[in-house]
Amino acid sequence: MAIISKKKICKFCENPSEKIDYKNYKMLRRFVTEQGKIIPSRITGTCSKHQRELTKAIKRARNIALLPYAFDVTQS
Amino acid sequence: MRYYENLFIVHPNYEQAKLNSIIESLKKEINEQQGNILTVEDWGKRRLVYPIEKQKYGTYILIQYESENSKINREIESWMKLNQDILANITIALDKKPEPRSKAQTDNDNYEE
Repeated sequence: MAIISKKKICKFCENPSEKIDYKNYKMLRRFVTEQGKIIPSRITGTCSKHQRELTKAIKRARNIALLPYAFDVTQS
Repeated sequence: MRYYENLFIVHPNYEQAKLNSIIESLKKEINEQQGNILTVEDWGKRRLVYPIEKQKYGTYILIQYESENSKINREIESWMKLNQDILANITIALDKKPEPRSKAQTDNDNYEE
């Protein structure tokens, strides 16, 4: 039995007005796990071009304490 | 013309007057390096995701500037590193002239949880 999954469409290709910016940390938070890890594009469906931009933006946001490097889930 | 954007965090215990004097001295520093300031934006005091220099809070300030001087970003960064009042900073080179940030965008960023 073949598993047919629906093809995911890149959110940023679909909606070009949505800019990837490290300052918009609320949008970026959707692309990291609870622990603060970057979610791979094969799960979110982001295309490789935008995934590269996202990675850069997330790392910039981490640098300036807008996003966590690591968040301890067990503690809270 | 080169365009830069700098986001930095100021120590949380400072009052508005002290904050303004920091911004003023930064403006002076940029002008000395033949830079031209485009926007200054105060995001207000907010919680840091992780503590920096034992501080849990910080005041975020965004500044955008343009210059012909190719060394300006390094000069400003080193100035910030030497400044005790600034906890952290990040400089980004923009590829085109930044558009003025809209009110809605700013409000969205300033939204406190």
